[in-house]
Parts: sequence; C-alpha cells; structure tokens
Amino acid sequence: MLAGPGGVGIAAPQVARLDRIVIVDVSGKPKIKNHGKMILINPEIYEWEGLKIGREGCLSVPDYTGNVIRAERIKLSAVDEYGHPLHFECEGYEARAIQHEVDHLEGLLFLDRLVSRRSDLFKRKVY
Amino acid sequence: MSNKWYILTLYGSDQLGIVSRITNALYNIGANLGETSMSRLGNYFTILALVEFNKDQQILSDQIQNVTDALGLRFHLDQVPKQNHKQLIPNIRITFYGNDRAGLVAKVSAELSRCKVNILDLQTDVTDDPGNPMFVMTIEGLAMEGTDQLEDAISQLKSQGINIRVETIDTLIG
Repeated sequence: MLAGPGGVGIAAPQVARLDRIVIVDVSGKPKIKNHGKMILINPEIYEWEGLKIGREGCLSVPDYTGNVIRAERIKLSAVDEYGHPLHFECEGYEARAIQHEVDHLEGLLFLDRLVSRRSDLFKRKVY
Repeated sequence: MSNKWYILTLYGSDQLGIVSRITNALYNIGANLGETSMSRLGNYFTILALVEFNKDQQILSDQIQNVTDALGLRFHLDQVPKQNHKQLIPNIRITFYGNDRAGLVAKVSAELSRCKVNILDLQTDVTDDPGNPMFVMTIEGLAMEGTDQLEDAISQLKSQGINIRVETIDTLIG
C-alpha cells in the first residue's frame, strides 16, 4: 500500500491472498476526519448515507483514474487481529477508501463503478 | 518498421454503424487504436482518435475514405510524432448552470487560464426548452499553481453575473 505513491488502502486479494482483510489509512491526508490505520478483518458496511462523486485510482489498475459515486457516511463492523469486534462510523474520504477496499473483497474494482458526468448528471426524461 | 501514429478527426450526421464500420475498417488493415473520444455532438457524431499504423499513410486514408464516402462523413488524418503519453489527473471540477447567454465559456475559460488552470475536459449542454434554454457546463482541470487563486477567479466571475461552483478533486488510490 505504501509502496505505490498516494496509496491509502489495500485489500488482501490485491496481493493474491484470498482473505477478507483490508487495511485503510488516510491519516496522511491533511484536514480529513480519520481513524488512523485501520486493519479490518471481515469488514461489513451495514449503513450507508449520502452520495458523492469522487475520483479514484487503484494500485491494481495503474495509470487510470475515473469518477466513482460512493456513500458519504457509512457504519461498519469488523474484527481486529485478535478477533475482537470493531465498529466505526466513517465519512468522506475515509468512507470512500473503505468502500473501495471492501469492493476488492467482492472482486470489484472501481472500474465496475465508473460514472459518466454527462449521463449521470443530466439524464433527459420524457414525461 | 517503426510505429507511426496519426490523429484522426471524423464527423458527420449521427447514424447507426459509424463506430462499427470505422473501427472494423481500421482493424482489417492492421491499424491499432490508442486513446479515443467518440461521442454524439448535437445531431452529429464525432470521432477523435489516436491511430497507430505502420504501412503507407495512403492505405490508411483510403480505407477510412471508403467508410466516410458510404456514410456521408468527413475526416482528416495527420501523422503525429510517437510519444509516451502522460496522464494528467485533474484536481478541480468546475460546474456552471444558468440561463444561456453569449460569453459563458469564453469568460470562464479566460479566468481559468489566468489562474493557471489547465482545462483537461470541458463539456457543455444546452437544454431543449426553446423558451428558456438552460446552459450547463462541467470542466475538469489541473490547477497548476494550487487552488487558492481560484477564490479570486470565482469572485471575478461573480461580478460578471456568472456563478461557478468549484470543488477540489482529491483522487483516492486504493
């Protein structure tokens, strides 16, 4: 995660480990609400709120970035390395990072969630 | 034989089959597509494409001409030097919507240029309501000297009655 420039998260499948483990650490970004380095095993997002478009890239998809809509606020549960339950309420950039990494556990890349500014902002409807 | 690159510009009335016929024509002579932008523009369809082709330029041109003649399209082909392209990632998004009037893109882009914002992508739409057309503009740009100057740009435009919304794009790599 730290080897690539600007990486703020990694999921086990990205390094060929088929385990439900993700690591997220957005503490390096200034002025962002965060919980420091989070090691999450069996993470589960059980509440989502708000939608925001943002730009994402991925260590597994070099040289490409795109627009992705994510929930603005999430609640998640997980366990730590010792099996103790964890609960977090995350928002903004950190919430985006977690959603991005949890997607990896389902075999999803941000490429599966790309949105087009044009088609998603201005849908023409005939009433 | 070294790789030769071309920029292909093509447009015409939008109809079924343009992308299919052009891309298959290119494929059939061994040409390769690089980055492309193919989209509907008004009632027209436009293609801007980087094309790699190692044989004679005339072969490429003739092949494209077969399709454009059949579909009533126009095109232009220019050889360009091969470059390793550099991906620029935008760090700001500017959106504007409001009553359509002359000078919106001109004034906004002038301000952005003054603030050293490199426009990477700009799209405009005019809504279909003839009585009250609304103009929508979205821009993704790279503020090369930071985003602080944009406060000034925003107020300059506001004083001309143009209210743009600026938000920073913070790309997340995960």
